[in-house]
Formats: sequence, C-alpha cells, structure tokens
Amino acid sequence: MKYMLMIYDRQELYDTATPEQMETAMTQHADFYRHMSEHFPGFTSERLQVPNTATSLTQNARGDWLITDGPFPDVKESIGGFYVFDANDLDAAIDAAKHCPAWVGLELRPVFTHE
Amino acid sequence: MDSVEIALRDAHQRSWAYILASVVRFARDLDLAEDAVQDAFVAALESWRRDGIPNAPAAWLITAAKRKVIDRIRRDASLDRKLPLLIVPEGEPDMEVPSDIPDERLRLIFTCCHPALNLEARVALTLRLVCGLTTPEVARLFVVTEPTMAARITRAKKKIAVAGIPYRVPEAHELPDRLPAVLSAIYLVFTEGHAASSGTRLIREELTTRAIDLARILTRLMPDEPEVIGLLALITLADARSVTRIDQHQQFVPLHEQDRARWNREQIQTGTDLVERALRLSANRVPGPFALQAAIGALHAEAPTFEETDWPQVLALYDLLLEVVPSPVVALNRSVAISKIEGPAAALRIVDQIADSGALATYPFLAATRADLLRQLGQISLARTAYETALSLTTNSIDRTYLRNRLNAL
Repeated sequence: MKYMLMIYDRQELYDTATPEQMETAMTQHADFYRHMSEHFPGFTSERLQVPNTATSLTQNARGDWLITDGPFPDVKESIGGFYVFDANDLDAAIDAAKHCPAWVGLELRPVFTHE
Repeated sequence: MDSVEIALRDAHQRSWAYILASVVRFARDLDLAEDAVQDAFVAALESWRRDGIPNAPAAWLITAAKRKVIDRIRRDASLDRKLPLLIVPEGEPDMEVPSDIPDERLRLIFTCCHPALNLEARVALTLRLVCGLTTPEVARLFVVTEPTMAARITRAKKKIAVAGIPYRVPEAHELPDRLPAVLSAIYLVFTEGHAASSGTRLIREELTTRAIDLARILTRLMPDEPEVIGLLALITLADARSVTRIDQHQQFVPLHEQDRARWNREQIQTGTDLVERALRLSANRVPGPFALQAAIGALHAEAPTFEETDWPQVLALYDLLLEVVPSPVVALNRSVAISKIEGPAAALRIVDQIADSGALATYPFLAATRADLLRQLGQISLARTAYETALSLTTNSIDRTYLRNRLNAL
C-alpha cells in the first residue's frame, strides 16, 4: 500500500523557533529521510515553504474563482511537508511515521491507486 | 426447537467469532466472509436434519462457509471487487479446525478495534462481527435507526480495507498502542448498558452482559494482560452493585444511600479476585487505568457502609490514577475521597481549581459536586446556585430528578 505522511505545522512555531530548535528539527528530518529511503520502496518527500507563503483558490457556484492568501482552510495548522512511501499495511506505516519529527502532528492517508 | 436448531443456536453463541474469524482470513473480505458464514448456517439446517449433527459443528460450518466463498469468487470472477482485499500477513498457519489456539478470534477483535477506527465504529463492528449480532439488533441496542447503523458499519469496513488495517494479532510490543482501543470499546458497551439514560431495562442488561462476555473472552485469550483483567474486574464490580443504583421509581440513588445488602456478593468476590490478579501482574509497574479503577471499585464494594470505606486507600489509588490519566474527571472524583479525609473545605478548594481551569465547564457533575460540598459547609445559597447550574447542564431525566430533589431538600 502507498501512504502519504503529512506533516502539520503552525506558522507561529516557525516564527518563534530558536535556531537550535530549527537545527534539531532539520537533523531529525535528515535522519528520518535516510531511514525511509533505505527501508521503504517508492519513497519520495518534499518540504514545503512556510504556511504564510500559501495561496488558496475557491470557486463559487457561478464558477468564479476567489484567490486568497494563506493556507486552506483557514485554521492554525497547515501542511508543512510530506513523505510518500510504500508499506505493507497501516501498522507498518504507523511504525514508520513514529520516526518522523512532529511539532504539531502527523496524518497518514492511503494514496488512491488504480489496481 | 428441535435438536438441530438447538445445535445451531449453540454453535452461533459459542463459535460465531471463531467461525467468522477463520473465514475472514480465508476470504480476505469482511462482507464476503459474513455472507458465507450466514449461508453456511442456513445450509446446516437442512444438511444436519438430513445427515445428522456433525461431531464438530464449528469445523463443519467453517468448511461449508469456505466452500461458499470459493463459489462466490468463481461466480463473480468477472465482477469488480468493491473493496481491496484485506491484508493478511503471510507465514501464519491456517487453523482449519477450531482448537485452543485463540489467535483467530483475537485477529478479529484487534481488527474491529484498531485505533484508526473511531470509538462508535469499533463498538458497532465488535457487536456485529465478534458477537454476531445482526445490524438491526446493534441499531436497537444503541437506539439509532437501522440505516444509520448499517451506514456506520459499512463505513468502518471500508476504512479497514482502504486504509490497509491488517488482519492480524499485534505483537507484544505493539500492545500499548493497540490494547486501549479494544478495552475502551468493550467498556463503552458496558457503560452504555449501565447508564440509566437510554433504552429499556432489557436493552441495558443485554449490553452489560455482552460487555462482560467480551471482557471474559479477552481474559481467556490474553490471560497475562493486567489491563484486560482490570477491565473485567471493573465491570464485574460495577455490575454487582448496579441493582441499587436506580430505585423502583426509576430514580438515581447515590452510593451513600444504596442498600449494600442487595449487592451481588458472588460477583464482588469474583471482581475482587480479578483486581488482585491484575495488580499482581502489574508488579513493578504503575497499574493501568482499568486495574486502578477496579481497585477503587473493590474498596467500595467491600466496605460495610459508606462511612467505613477505606478512604485513605481510595485516595492513594486516585493519586496513582491521576498520574496515569491526568484528566479533570479523575481529579473531580478524587475530590470525594479528599472530602472524606480532609473535609469538605479542602475538597471544595480542589473542585474550584478544576472549575477555574475551565476544563469541565459543561460537565454537570462538576457543579453537582460543588453544590454537595457547599451544602455540607452550610453555604446554602451558593449550593442552590450550583445545583441550578448542574440542572441547566443535564438533559438526562433521571439525573435531573435527582438534582431537583437535592435542590428542594436544601
């Protein structure tokens, strides 16, 4: 099964993090990245820019687009990055995710696949 | 009922989970397995009447159901499967004949109660798949419509297949992650039955009986897990005392007014023995929340009167429980023990701290506890306000009557 591990972040955490905290998080991600690429096939990952760099698009009933600043929806948490990997099952994916640093929280979602 | 019908009813009661669990692993599809087992029971009626009841009815039913699975897969080979196949780890032997090896049922229980499923879904699936209740029966027990319950069960099954929840027994090191989801589901079945708020007496008794049965099965399957034993102890002790919680006028009776002579002594003995076993098995570790709550329940059950309860011991257990489960509800319950040892003023200080934190703002028992302590301290007008707050937060008619009576008695 292919899973996407989404990392949830809060803008304010970036704003208030000390250089040491940032450094630690980067090292943890590097370790996690290495671990995942060694053990999980189909592994890919991207780190996203901070949440306030986001642009959101919504469409009304008439089909007009409304473009607004910030992540969608307008909540404190937004996705800061993601990892995609193959795992045997949800339990294996949870085990893997536990190695990922998480300031706010993580979400695992199976990726839709056509058989 | 003829002998074949009796044999089938027995097989359903005793071996349903076993049979279904074995067939699920073979079919790797919950719906397909359920249908096949259902069909096997129907086929057995005719076949057993013709050929006699087999020596091993459960094994017969498993074999028949597996054959039905094969037939269905052959027949529907061209059709698209609605859901992906269940993930069944390889290398585990298939248990063709039910034996003392409990893994088959455990697989089913842990799959129905995976923490990735919400509590309602876990409870519905457990009653449907492990207890073998029909969807209308589960709906009736939870006082929801049949389509609502059917949708809930379908959604849960879909999540198991699509999210890749594996059909297997977790390993020992995974139990801290996995066991609480199982225990909380069984406990909810019990508390739903124990609560006086909804359903008829019959429904409530069926739920508590189911919960005790499930907990008992689990203790047989995992005899060395202290929290499993703790859960069985907790609900056994609560059940032993349940007859006196509501009087003949359907009114709530607080613990200190209950007629202890009517408590079920046999169940209390069983529960107390289980508590001791759970605590012994937790040796060198802080016991888990179920074992601790059960130990508190045992102290209440064993006390000859409310006043003679071993309050220092109760408080010591609450201190541990608060460490394990740092929740404001536990802190509130702990305050009752404080009031018995240090007096109502000390307890009120704790309750006010909880109230100030805002954590239980809509919890009627916070206001009710405050009201009771204020009453004991002779602060009648403050007590009245607190009872009124509690009333405004309660919709349950039994609790409302109780609070109203307390208010009027001031």
